[in-house]
Order: sequence, then C-alpha cells, then structure tokens
Amino acid sequence: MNKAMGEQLSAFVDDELRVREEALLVSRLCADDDCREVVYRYALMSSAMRSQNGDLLGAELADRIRGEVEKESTHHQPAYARAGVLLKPVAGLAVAAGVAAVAVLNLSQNGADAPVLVPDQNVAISTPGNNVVPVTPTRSAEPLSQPARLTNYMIKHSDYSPALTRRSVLSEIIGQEGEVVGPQDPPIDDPEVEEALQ
Amino acid sequence: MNNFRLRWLAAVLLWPLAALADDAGYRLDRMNHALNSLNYRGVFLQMSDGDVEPMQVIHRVHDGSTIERLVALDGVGREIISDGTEVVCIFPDQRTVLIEIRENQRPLMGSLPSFSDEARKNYLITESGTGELMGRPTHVIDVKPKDGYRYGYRLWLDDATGIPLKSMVRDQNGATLEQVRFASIEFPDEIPASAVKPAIDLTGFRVIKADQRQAVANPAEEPGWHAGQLPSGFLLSAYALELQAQADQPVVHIVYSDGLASVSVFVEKPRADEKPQGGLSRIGSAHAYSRLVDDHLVTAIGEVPPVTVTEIANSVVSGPATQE
Repeated sequence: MNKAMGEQLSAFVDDELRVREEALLVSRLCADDDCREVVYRYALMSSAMRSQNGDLLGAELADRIRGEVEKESTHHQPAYARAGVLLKPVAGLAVAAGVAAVAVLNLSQNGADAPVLVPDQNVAISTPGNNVVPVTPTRSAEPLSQPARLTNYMIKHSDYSPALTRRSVLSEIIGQEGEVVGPQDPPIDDPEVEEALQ
Repeated sequence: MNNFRLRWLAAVLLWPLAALADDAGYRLDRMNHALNSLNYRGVFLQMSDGDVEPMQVIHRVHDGSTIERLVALDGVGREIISDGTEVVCIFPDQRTVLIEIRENQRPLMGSLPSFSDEARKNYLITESGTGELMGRPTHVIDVKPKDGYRYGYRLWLDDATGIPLKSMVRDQNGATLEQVRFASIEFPDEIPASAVKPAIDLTGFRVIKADQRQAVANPAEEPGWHAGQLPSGFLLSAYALELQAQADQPVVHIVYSDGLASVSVFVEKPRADEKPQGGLSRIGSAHAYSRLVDDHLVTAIGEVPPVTVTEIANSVVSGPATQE
C-alpha cells in the first residue's frame, strides 16, 4: 500500500475525506479486482505494527511498513490506548481456535448421548432458512483459552447487543483480522486476581 | 411573573431543538424498522484500530421472518447466518460450525432499542444535518452519551429507506472508535433463499450446538449473583443459566442495559485444570473485564468503555440483588 492510500484510509477513519474522495476510496477498495489484495496488505501492515506477523515479512520491508503504519497510528490510537490502558494482543486465529476449544469442552461435558450433538456418522443440522447441511462431528480435549471464552461470551452477548454494534461484533469474530486483544497475565493492580490465580 | 416569562421564553427558544430531537428519534426508530423489515444486500467496510474488513451482508425477509448472512470477504470466508431462533457461525479454517440458540427470538437486526425516555436519560439525540453517500441523500443523526460509561453513534441514515449507510462508534469526546460504511447496497423486492445459505460444503465439519439455556422468569429475585453497583442508567434486563462444558455448574448470564447499550455478566466456576486470566480485554469496540470472586470467574462484557465493564465486574457478588 502506498503512502497516499494509507493517508486516505487514515482520513477515512477520521471522517476527514470529502464525499467525492470517500466515494473514490471505497470504490477503489471494494469495486475493483484488487480489493482483497489491498485490504489484506493493509491488514498485514497493521499486524506488523503490532509485531504480530513482522517475522513473516522481510526484515527491511517489515521495518519500512512498521514505520509507515506507526506514523499512521500516531493519529489513530483509540481512546483506551491514549488513556494508557495496557492491552496485550492475542493472535487473531486464536478466536477461531477458541471456538473450537469451546466446542470440544461442550462435547466432553455433555457426553456422547447428549442432545446437543449426535456422536458419530453424518448428521443433518438445520441452519436458518431450513438449510440442511451434512456434517460429521468430532471431538478432542483442549484447555479453554481466554480468547475462546471471550469469543463464546461475545456470541452469547450479541443476542442482547444493539443492532449496529451487534453486526460489528460478529464481523470482528469472523473477520480475517478478527482478534481478541487481552492480557496474557492478571492485571498488576488487582491483587485478588493475582493471588487467586497462583 | 418573571419566572413565568423566562420559562415561556425558554420553551419558545428550545422548542426547535426538542422538535429536532423528536425528528431524530423518529428517524432512529424508522432505522430499526428498516433494518428488520427490508430486503437488502451489500458490501460494507468495517474499520477500527487501523484494520479494514470488507464484509458482505444479505438480509432476507420472507413470509414475515428474517434471516441474515454475514460473510467476511477477506481471508478464508468465515460467515455467520442468523435468524430469530439461531446464530450459526461457520469457521472454514477450523472446520467448525458453532450453533447458538437465540432464546428470545427477538428481531434479528431490529434489536437496537427504540429511543425511549429511558435511553434519552443517558444520551443526547440530535439531527446534525444532511449528506449524500453513494448518490443517496442521507440525514446525519448524532447519539451522544451524557457520561463516560457508554459510547455514542453518528449515523448516516438513507432518506429513502432509513437504513444506516454509514455509522461511527464514538467515545464521549467524539473520537471515532469504529466505522462501518457501505460500499454498495441494493434493495431488491425478493432475495432468493439460496443467497442466505452457506457458500461452502460443511461435510465433515465439527458441530457445536450450545442450546442449553434456561431463562429465569424473575431475574431480580434470582438468588445467585448480581452487580452490587451499576453505572448510572444501567438496569437489570435479563438473567439466564447456560450450560457450559468446562464448568460443573451452569454459567450465570446476567444482562444490564441503559436502554441502548448492554453489558453481559458471565459467572462460572473454572475447571480445576484451568488457569483463567483476569483483566481487561477487547474485541472491536467491545470490552471485557474478568476477575475471580469466591473461586468463580466473573466477566463483564459489552460494547461500552473499559471503565463500565471494570466497575460492573468489580461490583459483582454472590447473593440476591434484593438483599442490597
């Protein structure tokens, strides 16, 4: 992504683009054949900034991208970041892995004859709209991670979310860069948690 | 007499503002109705924290029921299909399908509460002007929070349909936290059923169906857990027990709402071999805060600022709310 595109996206986020510029940017992002590549590259840049995927890129390129995005991020730190709240990122794929982990544990708890799942063979699940989809359930045992737990919670919570934010939350869960950003360790300022988790 | 004149003068001067607010409220209620009752499909960009996610949404209304399919256009094609009874999350990269039963069978996208007097206690709702997006005239509506315990919105509502073509989630200072913007949208008279079916073959996928939920009829009288101190404007709105595999007991799910924003509190006893993490987390514009209380993991989560979930989680105790 070139600098001009980055600046345009920055302005877009801040709602500083004029209507015509905004329409052109959106058109460029989504209406042409390069849409996915452009967005994916932008996502990579964001990941590089957070040192998530920097090792996947050439060092020189990663540094260059990181520098470019850091310049952008100076203008786009969300309120919690400006307030100094410490949030450590967890890889985006953990969300999906977390859902899998929740699934495994659900199966394990409910037993083979639980009504929530037919234990083997292909079964038919009914998705909304009376879609009938053949599936084969499997099971394993993995510990529940914090991203898994939060993902599960968010899906449950979405039932009570306002419409606009509900769609956003669900989009975060299924998005390529969807991620749970959370602490790796208990917060230092909460001795009760630290003590209890020892 | 002077007081009377002052009141009369204030009423005359403020009447246009009140009328604008009522008009804005009408437009928001119209938006709720449109989101739930219209056929539409389009591509939108979701932008937050430097990330851009292109998404496709297909919303079908047929014989009085609604179904919506949300597809991530970038990556492996994860999607969510939901209606009034189920939410189906498809993760092709994990070969997993998660099915969540919707207890209340509430309208799918019409769950943005009507802007009742309750919501107006906590938000200032105004009409900020007009604009044009994708060649469609819009009215811009601002929903500003009156304190730092909730987020606000700026919405560009399509004049013709009421659908929000663009929306921003903003903090109390007006800083944009998240933006959703349609790149294209159409309103066909009919959307075929095939358009809301999964795009991929789910044969062999692992299926999770989390349908073990028991609603509590009188949540205020539920003796289990409650938040001892709530931010201004938040009230108890739901209480449910949900079976979770990793716990010996059902997970308690409590919902607090201020008429617009909602916060869920989950209480569960972690397995013996688990080491749950506490502290603050974030998913998009939503935040979560977890802590341990009497060997139970308490998590408050919602599309609200960090301070709101933190304060609510920190006030959660076991016992009936009526004893407070």
